[in-house]
Amino acid sequence: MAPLLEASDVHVSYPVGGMFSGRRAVKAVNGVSLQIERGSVLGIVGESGCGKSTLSRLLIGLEQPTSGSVWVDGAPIAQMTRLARARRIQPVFQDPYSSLNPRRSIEATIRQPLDVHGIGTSRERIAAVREMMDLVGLAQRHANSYPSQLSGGQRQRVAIARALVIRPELLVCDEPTSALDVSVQSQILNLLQDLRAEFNLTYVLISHDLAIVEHIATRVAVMYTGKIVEEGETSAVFSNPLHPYSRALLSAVLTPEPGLGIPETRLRGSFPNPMDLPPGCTFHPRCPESMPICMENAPCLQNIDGKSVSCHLYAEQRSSVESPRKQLG
Amino acid sequence: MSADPRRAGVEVSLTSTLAVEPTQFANLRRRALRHIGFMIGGGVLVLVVFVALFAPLIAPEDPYAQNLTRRLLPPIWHADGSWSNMLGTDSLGRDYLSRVIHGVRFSLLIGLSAVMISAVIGIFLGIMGGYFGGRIDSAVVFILTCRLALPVVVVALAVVALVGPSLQLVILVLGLLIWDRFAVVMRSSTQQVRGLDYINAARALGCSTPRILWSEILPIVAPNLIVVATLEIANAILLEAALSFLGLGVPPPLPSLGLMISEAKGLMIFEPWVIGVPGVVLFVMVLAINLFGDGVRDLTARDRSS
Repeated sequence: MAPLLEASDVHVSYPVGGMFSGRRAVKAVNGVSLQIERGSVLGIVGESGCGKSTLSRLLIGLEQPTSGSVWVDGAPIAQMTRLARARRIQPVFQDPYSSLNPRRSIEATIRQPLDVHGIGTSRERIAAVREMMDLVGLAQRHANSYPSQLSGGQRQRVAIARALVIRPELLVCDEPTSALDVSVQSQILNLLQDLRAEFNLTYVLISHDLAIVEHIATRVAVMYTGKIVEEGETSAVFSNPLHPYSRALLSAVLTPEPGLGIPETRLRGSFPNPMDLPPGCTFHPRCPESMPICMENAPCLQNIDGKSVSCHLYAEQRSSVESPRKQLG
Repeated sequence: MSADPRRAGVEVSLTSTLAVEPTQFANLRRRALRHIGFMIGGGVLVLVVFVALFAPLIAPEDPYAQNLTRRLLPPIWHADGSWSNMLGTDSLGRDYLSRVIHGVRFSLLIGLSAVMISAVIGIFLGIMGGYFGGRIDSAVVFILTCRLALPVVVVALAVVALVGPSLQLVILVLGLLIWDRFAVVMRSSTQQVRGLDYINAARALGCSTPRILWSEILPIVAPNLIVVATLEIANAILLEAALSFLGLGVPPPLPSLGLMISEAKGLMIFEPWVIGVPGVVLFVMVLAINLFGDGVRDLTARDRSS
């Protein structure tokens, strides 16, 4: 069976610069390939500016790839109609204070997808909205409220209900809890977990909160400068990160104990200017283990212990892993 | 009172939580009732609209009927005034009250029609430029700059002088000239909301672009547009009066406030009420519209901050 979502060598770049400075391109997503199996949760982590939000906008159709393609269930997304894509993929945005139209009541907000897609009679739509409100844990008395009368957690529940009312297969959650209070975050995460079981959903979860990703995701992809540098089972990536960047990212998590200070990541410099990426491996200026080859050649994703890693450190391992296969074949 | 104070407290808190639910409209109404400018402006405006709608029924006489035997009768507050012509008569013996009532009707007709035309043009250009940005926006800004470079009164005078004055032409020319504020307000408000996530959510839902513009963006910016519309109606009424005063607005037999002021300017010294009556009516009407517009702005602005 084909994976629910497949991206191959997707690039997104934006032209920047004006009349006098010459046009250049910012590469926000720089050759991403990934596969998302039905029923799985893919966590995408990385620091600000690494292209994870652009990737999510690409999946929900707000961006078009400059090159490369995305397939849903084996069908290229570029050839799907606007409505067909919306029926399969829906977003949950970061900030529930801006993702709900302030002039639309809760009931009208959740009913809107049904209206747009022409699903059911008006009585069936109202029944579907009521059912959805129950499922996401919103009291029926909020049906005629407006977003300004709800708390952040309640608004995020409305946003989730709006996304799920047309029964999509894939939910793209871009930082679904980072705008919420800590006490509400876990409620929303548990709700997402419950709904996944209820509707057999697949999630793409974009977050900078590694604890959330570890808790929910079945697979994790680590992004850096628009590329996936490591991808694999959550437990494998978290227990044994291979790429130097993944190691640094995981070691940068703050501990709850006070007084331990900021963790040492052994990284030099800072995130590179996306308009002027370093040659070779884009991570080499910061990498504690960089080698001469890193400045010249960009590494490719390779398979090691069920994970994909893009780093020259493991180039030798690959040849040692691959050579026995060649002998067998 | 023998009621248990604790019980009374419970009841009060119960009713207050119940009353909190349907707030938005009640809240707005309470604030509107407290806004003095809005109430005065709105009250006068209701009266003016009522008079304009039912002008033929309210006006005591035909505003076009001349009677040279009763030229320039004084109004009621004058020593020689009479109840048969409360505001007196003009230099052709037409009942002045009837002419003022019909003049108000024409002023409102011109103001509303011209603003309707300009609203369509301005909203369309503004929403296009604001939503799509890029080259479309550059084109919109260019058209807007060209429009702002045109002096409204001079262009209107030139066109009317060229084609010949008529009611339809005045409406059309004003409508085509005063859309700039609509475009500016629409463009900047659209720019403010276009990047918000609920617009993105609507796009991800599969909404078409016209649907997003119509049902996501327009309702959000509508309060700003109502404010602009009221101010522009007042503006259009004043411009029409100015054109008519210069003799290039509505053609003579029609009772227009500007035209009445113009016709009376020779009589200003000995019969000041002939110019005073239409002038005061024009002043009060425009003031009421502006007060009303300011009130709408205050009420909706506070509504958004809450």
